[in-house]
Amino acid sequence: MSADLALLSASELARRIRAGKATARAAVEACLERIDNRNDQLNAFIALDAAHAQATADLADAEAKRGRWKGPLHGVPLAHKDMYYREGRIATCGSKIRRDWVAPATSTALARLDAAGALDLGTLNMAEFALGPTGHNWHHGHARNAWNPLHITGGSSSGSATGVAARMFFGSLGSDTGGSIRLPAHYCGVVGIKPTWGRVSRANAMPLSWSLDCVGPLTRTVEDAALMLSIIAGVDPADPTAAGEPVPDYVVGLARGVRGLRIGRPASFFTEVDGESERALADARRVLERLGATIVDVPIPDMERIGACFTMVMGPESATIHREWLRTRADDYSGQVRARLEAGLMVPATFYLDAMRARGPLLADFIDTVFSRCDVLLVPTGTSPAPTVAESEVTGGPDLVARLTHFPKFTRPFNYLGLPGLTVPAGFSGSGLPIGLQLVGRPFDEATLFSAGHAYQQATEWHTRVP
Amino acid sequence: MTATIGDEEARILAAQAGVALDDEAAVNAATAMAPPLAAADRHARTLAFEAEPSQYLAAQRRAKR
Repeated sequence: MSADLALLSASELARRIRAGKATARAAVEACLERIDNRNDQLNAFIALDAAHAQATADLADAEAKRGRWKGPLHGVPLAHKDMYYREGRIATCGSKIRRDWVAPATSTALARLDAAGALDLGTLNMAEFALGPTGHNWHHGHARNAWNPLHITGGSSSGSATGVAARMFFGSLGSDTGGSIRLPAHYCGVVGIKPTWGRVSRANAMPLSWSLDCVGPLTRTVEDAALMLSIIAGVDPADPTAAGEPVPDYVVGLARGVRGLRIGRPASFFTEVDGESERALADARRVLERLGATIVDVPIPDMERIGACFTMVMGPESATIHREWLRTRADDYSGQVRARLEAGLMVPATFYLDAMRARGPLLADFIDTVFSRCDVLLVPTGTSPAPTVAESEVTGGPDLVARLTHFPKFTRPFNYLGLPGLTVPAGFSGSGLPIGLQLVGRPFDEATLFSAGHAYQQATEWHTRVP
Repeated sequence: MTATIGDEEARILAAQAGVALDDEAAVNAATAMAPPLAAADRHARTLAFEAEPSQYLAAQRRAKR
């Protein structure tokens, strides 16, 4: 029974617990069995707390017996990127510098999942300070792809993606500053949503670049992502940048389907992918068309300009956050992360301010150009399936920025624009590595992305494959 | 404002930031940032003079579905 439970989606497990057909304790044991079998190889966890998960599962089961339900994730085991603070617990942020740092407060996103009844198995591997697109970590060990451990997970939410793929837990919080949810979701064959900037509170989550950072979940299905985002989204007095936009019930909205939806096919920029990814995207367009969507060709604004603006924002903001440690503990950073942070010190203030004031006009232009013609833009998430850990290791040198910015080429523009992006498994390469499509929508229109992604998953079986 | 930073300018910037960069790191950081700085500089000149950060939230609001 335990092994079967581990293969369910979070939503299905929650329904079974609610119906008395499964227990939280059995779900935790099923996860622990998977973790025991695969974590040594994949390095998904930084700190597993099995005893805590078992104890809270027993409490959840006792409450269930009394008919007390905390919320829609009652008894469902999750685990999160090690940058969501929980009061009294170490949050390493994937670093050496914070290896023993104890968080003074709990993040809003975690608190909302707790209130919904979710359990917490422990903290997950990530790129050092969430600054890295590949999943390499020179302090806690590189995370490895569940489909082939010789290959990268993508980053920075590396442990989240490979752990969800390996069915070690039922969902996970990641964070996305330039692609850190969507890229690992693509490489590991899971679902990931970067919501609209401001949709989810960042209170007591580690910052990397405050104008770009977004909190979102990685899950096995679009339904699970819709459920988790419904729980964590919305205004928060602890984070003045958390938007006051009403949060719809994303799960109810899944039934909308794609009939009549206009799905954009980009005329340029996003076409620069390998042949297998191109075929997967073409197949996905055919599936969506068969379901009633209309595919329309759309022009794409100057993405080189948007990419340059992204770099001008992220560099100085991350360097500002890390400046004191760069001064006092520079040798405690890995070479790659130190070099990237130091590069941020080289951006003149005028360039940063130009990039910030260009954000409104460039967003307006993107919306006029793209979303006047379509409701959702369908683009690749990555330029190819996951490369190997060895070939993507970059530790320094003058080509460092160019080599690393190639990975998030199709994701970071949407962080600068603040638009929501949903990555959904859409196929496999000939060598058995996942390929994920990316659906991009208007500001605060995550609901349309979810209904399109869910309709696609109802018609395909990529998300049901288990490594 | 020049968009290509030389070794000496990189070291001056680093010194102003109070960060002790060794020579190789300074050169690498400067070299790495030169292309994106050049691109940003090129694009900045085409921006509307009146553009300001508050326009971002306004654009978000207008574009809601």
